[in-house]
Amino acid sequence: MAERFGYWNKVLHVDLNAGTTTIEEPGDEFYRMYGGGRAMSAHYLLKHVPAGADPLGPDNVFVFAPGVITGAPVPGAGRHSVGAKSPLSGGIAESEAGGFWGAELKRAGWDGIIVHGVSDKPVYLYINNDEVEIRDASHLWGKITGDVEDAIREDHDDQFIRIAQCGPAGENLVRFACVMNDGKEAAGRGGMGAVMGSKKLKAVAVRGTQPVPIADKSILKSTAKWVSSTLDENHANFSHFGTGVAMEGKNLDGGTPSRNFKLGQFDEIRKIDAVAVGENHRIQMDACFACSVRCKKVVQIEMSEADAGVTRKGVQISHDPQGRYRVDPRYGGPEYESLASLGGNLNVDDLVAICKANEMCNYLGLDSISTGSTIAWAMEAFEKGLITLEDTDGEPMRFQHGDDVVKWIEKIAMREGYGDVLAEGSQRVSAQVGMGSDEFLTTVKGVEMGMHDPRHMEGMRETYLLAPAGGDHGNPVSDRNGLRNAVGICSFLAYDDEQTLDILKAVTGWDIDAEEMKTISHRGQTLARLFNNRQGFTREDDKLPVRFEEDLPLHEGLSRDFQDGLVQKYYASHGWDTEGVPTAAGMADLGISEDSVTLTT
Amino acid sequence: MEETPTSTSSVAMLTLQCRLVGELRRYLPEGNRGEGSVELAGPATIENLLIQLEIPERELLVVGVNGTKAPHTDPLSDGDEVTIVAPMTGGASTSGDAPQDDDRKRRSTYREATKYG
Repeated sequence: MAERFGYWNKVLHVDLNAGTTTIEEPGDEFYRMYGGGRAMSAHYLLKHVPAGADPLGPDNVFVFAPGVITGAPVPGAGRHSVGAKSPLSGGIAESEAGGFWGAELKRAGWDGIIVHGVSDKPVYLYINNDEVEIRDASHLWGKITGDVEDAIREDHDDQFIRIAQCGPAGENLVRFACVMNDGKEAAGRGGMGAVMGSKKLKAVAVRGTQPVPIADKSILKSTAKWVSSTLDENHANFSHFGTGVAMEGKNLDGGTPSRNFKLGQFDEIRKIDAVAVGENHRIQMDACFACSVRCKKVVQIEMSEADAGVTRKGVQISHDPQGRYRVDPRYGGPEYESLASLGGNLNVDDLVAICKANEMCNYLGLDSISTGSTIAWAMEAFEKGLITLEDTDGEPMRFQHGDDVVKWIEKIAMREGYGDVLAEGSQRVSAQVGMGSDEFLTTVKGVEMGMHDPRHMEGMRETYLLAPAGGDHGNPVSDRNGLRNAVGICSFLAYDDEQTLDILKAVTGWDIDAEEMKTISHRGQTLARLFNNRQGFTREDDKLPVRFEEDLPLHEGLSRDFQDGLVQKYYASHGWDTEGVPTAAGMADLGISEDSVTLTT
Repeated sequence: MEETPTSTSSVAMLTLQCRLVGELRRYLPEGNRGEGSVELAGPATIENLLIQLEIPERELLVVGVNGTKAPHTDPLSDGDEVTIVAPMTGGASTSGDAPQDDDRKRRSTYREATKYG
């Protein structure tokens, strides 16, 4: 057997029906074919999830998929992905997260986890290197994410355990519940937390102490040095402010999500961007595994000036001048997507409330994008009189009111009152409400779009039209992003393709070239397409919501003809026919065999 | 890129109220959290202001004059309020095939794709 680098040839299968675990050794070709991430998720979904499977039932499988680079000692290698059939879209969901959990899983000696079936009682999976246990989680059920972390670490008397989990929102099957890891990182999109919740799998707790084998450490060392020594040249905004520092530029350009993607600009944008967060509420920047960029904001807000004080490093802690909210730093701080979805798009300029809303999404396990966008849709419906106080338990839903947002987040996560309705996601609620309320949805394939308006950002058009996970701005459609997703490298790192190739070669020892990297990316995209087609998606689903056919003040709307042109061009470039069905020849080019798509035939 | 502005705009000295957002703060001579007045010598254009401030990769910057986005070729007037924002720049691309670029110093094509995140 040749020596292996970057992976262990070990995938853990967990059968929650039987309460058993087994180990699969997929073989070297598997890793070279799929890398990890979406391609790996799609492979297992195609293999195990039949057409029409209930996303919240026992036939769905849940995949934790780091990549071959995840866990390598190089900046950007802290990414992992989770995948399943989405309860929001009905197609594949595959969502990435940073932090440390994915690297810890690799360092425990595992390349992925495939969860089958449904447990009849709450459980969590405990992995300590080779040791794997399905443990009772009845003491964790109902707890928020921070308390679950504390409890599991106490169970095992180990403060270094890394935990991925569904929050109360996932337990309550909120269709846009996310999977949180490391307290503040979210695999946010597509309702993956609800799938965990449906399986009664509260958490996966991991402890790993085995360095991932690396073929050529010297290349990784020099790459890490290049990143750390050129921060001001290549990652200055990330390392000094984090995402959301350029919101004012987007606003000047007329591309700000504002009032449910209606306006394109928000006059108060300077009150809620990452500069404002940094100046008013941030206590430090934090990092993911092995990364010197440190782009993660950490905010702390106390209820009163008397409670505020300073941090151990002497940083002044902020307080809420209105004495309403405390924001716990263990849940990080708002990224751009949260600042926009819980702030600008709702025309909320109350940064304390936005930080609180973000913290709540993290401790309750809600996707801040779908949460904000579902609330945005409801606020517009409320404004138009399509839903009223009678529907909403007497609680208003008003643009510009941060306190309304905070209230509704709690109600959605706990499915209280009208929150139970909103927990189904904006598209399902709109279908109930009717009265033309679909005309101001911002969903693609049922998934609320990220906070990048495709009328403004040309590069986002293909993403929203063709991402297998629907309206997920981070779900890759390009060759570069697809490859990064598969192998597990953060998109924020300013590596060019040559550097990515160098890293991939250095980690794995593969004699791989740019063409093969592109093929890995296309393979993931095609496998995901095959899964979606099996679940009933067609060319008709590759379209933007009507709102985006309307003009913004500074940008033209995108007509269906224009959209169709982009879609057809993309189909052709990926070896799919004009209906978006992968052709036999295209699949053969990608080496996709019948074995890998068993249930499609 | 041509370093010498060729605008036909006025060459009188202007005083501008400038605000440089985020990490661009370091290019403002007087610091002060990225806000301050700047005396602009030479042609009264945005492009010339960016050159004077010595900000690299100028083509990617979004510039607002008195609250409205303006192309870099636009003229400036005494007392204008100028806001300059750089895009978020990472390694992602957001559409189609990733551009290949042999010169790692020239990253603007990569950066364009992730702007404003």
